[in-house]
Amino acid sequence: MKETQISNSEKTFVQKIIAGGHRLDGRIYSETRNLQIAFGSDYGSCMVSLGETKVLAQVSCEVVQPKQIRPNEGIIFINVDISPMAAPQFEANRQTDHTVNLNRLLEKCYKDSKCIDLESLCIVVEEKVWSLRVDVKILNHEGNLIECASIATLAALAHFKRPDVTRVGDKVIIHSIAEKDPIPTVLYHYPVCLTYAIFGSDILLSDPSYIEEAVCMCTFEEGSAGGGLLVVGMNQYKEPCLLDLTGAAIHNVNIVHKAILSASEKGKSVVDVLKKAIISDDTLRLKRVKINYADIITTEHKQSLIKKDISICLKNYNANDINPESDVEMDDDVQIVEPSKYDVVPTLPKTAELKVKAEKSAWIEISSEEDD
Amino acid sequence: MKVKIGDVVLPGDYCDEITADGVKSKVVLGPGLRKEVDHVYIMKAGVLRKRNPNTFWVDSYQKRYVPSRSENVIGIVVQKAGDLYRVDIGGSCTAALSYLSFEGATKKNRPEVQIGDVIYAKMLVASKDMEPELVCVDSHGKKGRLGVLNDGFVFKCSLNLIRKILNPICPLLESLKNEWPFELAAGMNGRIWIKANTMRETIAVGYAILGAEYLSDDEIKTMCTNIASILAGHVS
Amino acid sequence: MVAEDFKDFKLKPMKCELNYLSKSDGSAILAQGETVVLASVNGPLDIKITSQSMEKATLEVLFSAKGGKPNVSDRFKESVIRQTCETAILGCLYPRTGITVTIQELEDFGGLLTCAVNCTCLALLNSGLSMKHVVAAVGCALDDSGNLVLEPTYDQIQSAAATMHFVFDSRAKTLVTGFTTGIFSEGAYDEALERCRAASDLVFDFYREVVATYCKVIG
Repeated sequence: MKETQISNSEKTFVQKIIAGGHRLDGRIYSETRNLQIAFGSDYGSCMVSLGETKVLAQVSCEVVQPKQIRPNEGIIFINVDISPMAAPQFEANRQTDHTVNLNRLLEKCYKDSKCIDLESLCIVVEEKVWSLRVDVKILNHEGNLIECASIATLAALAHFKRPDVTRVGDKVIIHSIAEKDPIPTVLYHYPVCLTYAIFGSDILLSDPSYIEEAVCMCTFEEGSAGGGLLVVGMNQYKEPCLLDLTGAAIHNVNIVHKAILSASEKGKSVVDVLKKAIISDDTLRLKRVKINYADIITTEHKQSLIKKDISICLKNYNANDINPESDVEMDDDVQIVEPSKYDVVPTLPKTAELKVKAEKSAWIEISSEEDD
Repeated sequence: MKVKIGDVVLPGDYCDEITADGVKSKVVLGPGLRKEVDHVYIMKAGVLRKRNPNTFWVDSYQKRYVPSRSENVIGIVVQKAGDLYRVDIGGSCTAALSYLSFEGATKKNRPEVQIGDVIYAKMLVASKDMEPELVCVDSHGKKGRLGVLNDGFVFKCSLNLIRKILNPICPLLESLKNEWPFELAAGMNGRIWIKANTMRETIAVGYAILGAEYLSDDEIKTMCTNIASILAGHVS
Repeated sequence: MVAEDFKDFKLKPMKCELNYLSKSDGSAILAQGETVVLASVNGPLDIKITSQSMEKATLEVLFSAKGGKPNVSDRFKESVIRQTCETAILGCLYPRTGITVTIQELEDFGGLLTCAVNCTCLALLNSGLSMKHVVAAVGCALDDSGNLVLEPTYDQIQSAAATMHFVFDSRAKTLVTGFTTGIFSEGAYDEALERCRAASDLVFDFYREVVATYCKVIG
């Protein structure tokens, strides 16, 4: 199944609206979508949703022999899986450029930035070390996979606890969680990847949605100036860990600087949210509250199909909080019900169209009325 | 399980009322119904409906389009292949649109259609065993409302929403048209094309349509007034 | 009447949300007790010519565990679910196309496969694909003393002598799929089958309830 091609109408509309200082879903340029982190019953299992983009991450561990060149270090392995669940255009069990790119970026951000204390994962030098495996599963692709996946990876790593071990002579005993309290992974710093879509020469959109990403890359393929996705890895100390650019070369020097500045603020706030989520999860676990993914299923919606995020949005308005007795200010003359100037006329079968009523004034005359 | 008209139905249920009607006169089985040897069985989850005198169907939720004859759809041109355009209509395969099936088109005089254009067309052939075919003219060779849609914005939604807003009893378009002018084309394949004077108004139309999916008629009316007052600047 | 005696069975509490994923054509997240599964259905879609069938839609089922390397038991689950779905979906209405069902395990506290079958069925209902009937899976365990436990918990499964799982269709409650582990007598199997058959009513009622919550507004 090929990816649905983006139409010219969508492309020009999105470009125009962004040039005009707005976004399709009513956000401002630097606004991100709603971030939610949910933990599962196991340690190191979490589901992160960024707007409607959803990613599941699970950390598991096993004892293996260390690599020859690094005999006293544990191993970390990140595996990204994009199944057809994410979007119909993805095929099962097939490595695409997209998957490889995502995997590489996450490895760069978490392995190469040395944020995990690998030496603490060592049990017996040259013989036994812990190998951590992070499985990242993309559940729903609504744009900005990398940011969502990186938050999920980090949350899973920070949440994960490995079983305690004791050495008795040459033997190593691995204690189950019931026997001895498990040990959390040591993280020196918390890097997260933040994505910026570059439009034109100097517009930066943080957390681009699916259509914004598509339009952005389209602009690049057509060869017009600008158009690219800039990924900035940033930790909570405002230190950049990773920079990655897909798409057109950047002409404007300031844009990277601008992105890094904005990312440093955002990175910190994301890490704060993440830490808070982990702490509240920990306190719940101490109280022996059972935490389960079943909690994310909400039945409070009046209808179970209701969408939480509507992709096209007016700023500061939500259809779900409609107040029936809304006290919208109304001018007195608005109260008089005017006969409609426009009429829905069924034209061909199964179509309806808005038409200007024949006997009434046309659109142009509205302005002429004002001129009087 | 045996069900009646107006019930919530699941696949595998059967309705004897339809069979009984079928003995007396001809009945029309719409989407979601299927006649097997003994009974009329339901194929989709939803509500069983009847329109007098003899039409039955199931109102169900669906996002993926399955082509069906004589429906008006919105497609995106993805390829020019010889004398055909391949149009993505959201179904399992692309639909064919001959360049001769435009108003006034001849072998010499080709219509101007580019890859990526949005097309409003009618399903001419839609059978499960054949490639779907589109036309942009009616049987008199006139284009009517069909053809290329310029500018504006296209978005996707569920197939139900299209049916809901095109239903004559739905107040959405009725309320919206009183507030500000716009153009709209709804494809039965779950795509809506909208165009208004300003971008803000276009977005407002799109938002009103998407927001209406799970609202009752009264709530839709309130929403339309609310949006209009935001647009007018009464409420920030 | 055997079925009458089992009317007051309780299954684990079920909780479900449809249309959980915006990009899939149909999706459902279902919790049965503490076991949670997410399923998505895409189709009918265009697929490679080599895997197209002239007669009916090609069904592809993918099961993905929470973590770790893919293993044989995942493949087993895939084949069980694929065979079950093939009987339920009217694939002949969508020839030369593909239908992809993807299942993601979220929590496993016993009864993962039955939960996965039920969740897949809900996702199929949500996708609007034409189906012959709906299916309901119910599991039970036989403990050492020979007692049958309906919908066993995780601990009960670990200590059970045998577990039996059955999938029924909604038309005549005929057995669609059955899979068992362990050793048991013929009599125990028959009793388990009848009990599960009776309990499947609860699952069908639950489906109807879920559909009823949204179908009043979609029309």
